[in-house]
Amino acid sequence: MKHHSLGEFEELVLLMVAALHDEAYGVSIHKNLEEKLPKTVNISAIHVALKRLEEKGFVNSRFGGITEDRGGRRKKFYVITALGKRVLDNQYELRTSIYHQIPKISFS
Amino acid sequence: MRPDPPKGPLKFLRWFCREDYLDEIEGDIVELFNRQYQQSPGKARRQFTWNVIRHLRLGFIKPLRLAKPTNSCGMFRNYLKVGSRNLVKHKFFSFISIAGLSIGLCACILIIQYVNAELGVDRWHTKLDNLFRVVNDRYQQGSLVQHSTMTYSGIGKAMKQDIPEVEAYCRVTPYRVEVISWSDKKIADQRAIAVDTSFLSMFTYTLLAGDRQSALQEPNSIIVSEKMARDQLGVKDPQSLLGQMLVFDTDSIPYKITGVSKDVPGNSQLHFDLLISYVSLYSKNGNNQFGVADYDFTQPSFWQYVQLKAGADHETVERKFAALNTKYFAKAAASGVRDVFYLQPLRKAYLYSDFEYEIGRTGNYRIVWSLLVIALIILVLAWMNYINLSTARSLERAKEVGIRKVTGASRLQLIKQFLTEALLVNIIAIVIAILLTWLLQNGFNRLVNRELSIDMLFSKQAADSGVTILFVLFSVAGIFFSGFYPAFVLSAYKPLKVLRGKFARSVSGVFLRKSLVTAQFAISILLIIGSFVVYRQLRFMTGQSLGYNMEQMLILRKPVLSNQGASFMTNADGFINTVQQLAHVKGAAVSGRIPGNELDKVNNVNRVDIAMNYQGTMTNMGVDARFINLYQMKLLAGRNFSPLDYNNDPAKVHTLIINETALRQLAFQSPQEAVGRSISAFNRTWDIIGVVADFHQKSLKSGIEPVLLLPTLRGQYSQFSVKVDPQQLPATLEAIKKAYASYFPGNVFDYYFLDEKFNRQYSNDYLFGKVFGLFAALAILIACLGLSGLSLLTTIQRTKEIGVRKVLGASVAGVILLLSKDFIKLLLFAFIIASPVAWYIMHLWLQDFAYRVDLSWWIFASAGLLSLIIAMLVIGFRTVRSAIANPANSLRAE
Repeated sequence: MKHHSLGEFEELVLLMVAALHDEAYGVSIHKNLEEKLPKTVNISAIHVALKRLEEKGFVNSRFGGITEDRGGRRKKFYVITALGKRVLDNQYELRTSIYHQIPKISFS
Repeated sequence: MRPDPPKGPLKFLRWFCREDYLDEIEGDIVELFNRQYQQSPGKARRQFTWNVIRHLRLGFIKPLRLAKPTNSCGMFRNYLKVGSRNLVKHKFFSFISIAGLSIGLCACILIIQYVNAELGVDRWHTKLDNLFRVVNDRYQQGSLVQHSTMTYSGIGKAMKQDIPEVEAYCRVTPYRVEVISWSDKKIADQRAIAVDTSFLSMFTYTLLAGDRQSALQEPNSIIVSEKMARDQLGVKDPQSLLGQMLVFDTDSIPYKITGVSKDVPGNSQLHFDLLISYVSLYSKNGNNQFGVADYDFTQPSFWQYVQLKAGADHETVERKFAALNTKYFAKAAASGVRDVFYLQPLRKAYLYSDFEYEIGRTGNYRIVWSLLVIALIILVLAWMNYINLSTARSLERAKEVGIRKVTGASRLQLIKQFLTEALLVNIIAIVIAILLTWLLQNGFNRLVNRELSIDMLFSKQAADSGVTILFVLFSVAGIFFSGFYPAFVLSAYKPLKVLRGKFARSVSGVFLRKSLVTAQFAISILLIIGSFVVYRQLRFMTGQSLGYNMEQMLILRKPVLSNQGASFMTNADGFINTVQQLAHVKGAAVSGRIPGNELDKVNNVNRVDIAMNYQGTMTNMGVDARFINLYQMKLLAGRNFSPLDYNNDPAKVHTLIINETALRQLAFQSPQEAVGRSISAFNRTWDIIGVVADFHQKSLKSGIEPVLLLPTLRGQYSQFSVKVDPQQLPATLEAIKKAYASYFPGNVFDYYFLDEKFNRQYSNDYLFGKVFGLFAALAILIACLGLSGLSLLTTIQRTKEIGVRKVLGASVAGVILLLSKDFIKLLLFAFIIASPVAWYIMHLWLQDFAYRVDLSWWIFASAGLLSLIIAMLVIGFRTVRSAIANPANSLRAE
């Protein structure tokens, strides 16, 4: 496996794509991220991240139907790929393993 | 209702964003906008704009279409095909556009040849930028008495000595060479000038044989022109002429040929067949002892050129001339005479001359530029026709535009299409214009009396002056703009509107069309008024009484090979008496100058009887006792000369006749008062024996000068005037020739009619008048072509309306009025605009003439009326035809 880098924001977006499974498109990702994060996120940042993820092969995309809400434009749905999932798993394992090495001392 | 996101940012997003991302990006931000809109519309809008801006990243921007695979060739072929079909289909309109453009372009090409030729005069000297002509204004008691190119022989040398920037000087003076002997041949009519050695180094005249440095160094050396060597001397090899001798019959001195010059090009102001070394004029070795020619500051009769060092500014040099005055003209200054010297750049000498005693032919920059402007205006008129007709007919192309748009043509493509069509029309017009130019070239050359050809557009001088480049740029701009406007209008049609079939005639463009028609007619009226005024002025000048009668007046060649002095006078009397005996000769006289000649000046003329602070400059002319009667001049008081007034000793002559202007300047109250009084002139006292009415010695462009008529004759250089009866002219001429040969043996007999020569002073004005008239006609023609096209269109478009009106009882006259009313309104408006402009321009033009016609109202009225009549004739044909048409025909088809 080649070295798959994943930036912090990219990781968040990828997580959200995975979490929203089948319902992940720009606006829904944006909405959920803003709910979870204590800061505002610009939609363009999400678009950039999605394009990169797709380039790296972590997500796949497909077009949905036209809705009135979007001025006659189609939605673009993203789903996580197996590769994407594995990268997320690796990331998660890495983080937890390091996390567990933290000595159990109390932080006061 | 769903809110609309801000239009501008949305448009911007669509413009820059990649097509394949657009759905996602636009959709997302619109959705966000819609959500936010419920809470705060303002914030939503701001947020939307911000989001658009944030998306402006390299990754989302459309790829630059640098290597867009194009196949515009096929499309282009289609444009050309449709364009040419359209031209063929509407033959009349195509004819109008193309004919107008061809005429305009042809006029421009011809005029630009002329302009280039005029601008090219003397521009071919390699040292052009450093060459200047010394010109000189002479003030007497503060008033300007002479504005001349002739100056003092010493001034060039003085400038070179005193002013470091002056590198070289060259004196040029005409040399009287009436007859030359070459072995057994007699050669006449050669133009000779005496020039300094520097002439060949300053100017770019080429020598075919001889040495440039030394050819003009020795006294009595001479350079002959190639033409003279070939035609007159009959020598083909220039080298073989070197060292041979020519004899001038006037002084029987042999001149040694030291060089052969290449013929002077046509675009030179200075023309010569012979160059004589200047030193011959005054040299002790030469036999011509003409002292003032070398280094003199009293007699202004020499042309001078100076060459400044490279980079020297002539205005700075001019400022140093004041020092020359104090140094060399102290004596003149004491008597109240002041000479001011200027340097006139050689490049301006030909076109910008208002000087007396010019060295050669002069042009007039105002004529040159105004002809150019008129030619360009004509071309603009033709483009106006194209714009008018193609926008007025845009309706016919509307369906095509609609279909093209529906099948995917962009606006840019449509603009390209209609520009291509404009280009097609213009290219056809250019080809026809070049053919027309080729056909008309000879006629035009005769008209302007120049050797012009189409090469002149591309000569080196043309490139220098930039006129051709200017014209090409002007044409490209004109073609582009005249094509762009219709293209813009046509490509703007909304396909839905057009194709639905309920496409109303648009009012847009009507204003433009009306303004263009008005402009066309304003220009035409302007040109008509202009040519009326020019013709009136020319007729006035040639028809005006000059104060003497020169009809049927023959002027004979000067008998230069006769003796001077007493025997000449006897011979002259004998000749005149013999000639007067002839049946068809009404009279004859001899005089030093004839009408049309520039007169010699005499300074310091003053009254003797009363003290008067005058010291005027007047002109003088020697005449015999028959002159005043022969020319039918009017003697206001006193008497004519009698034989007793003449004396073989010039010092003993003491009577004179003055003209009215001289009378006024000398402050006499009446002609009667002047008779018997004395004046001083030529440093002695003269008695006034008579006063003649003012007469026009020169053309009516100049005012009347004070003239002193003197009973002195300058011998062999006097001119004979013979008034003849036109009946049996050849026999009379033969008899005169015989008498001439017996009294003045050895001289060449030749003659010309005075009125023809005199009117040649107006040749530049006649040229202007003719070309101006021609252009006015062309402008009218083009305007009429356009008008006929437009009137045809209106009648076609209003056919139904006319039918309905007629059915409802409108009269034929009423319909005609209805149809022509609009055009006549425009014409009136054009007239109102054109008249004051024409008045102003022609007023300026008339300032050139000392005697001029007034701009009376009826010139304007008749020009207006003429254009009205022409316009009515053009419109009338169409309107009458549609007015008398049977309404059943126009209403039947529905």
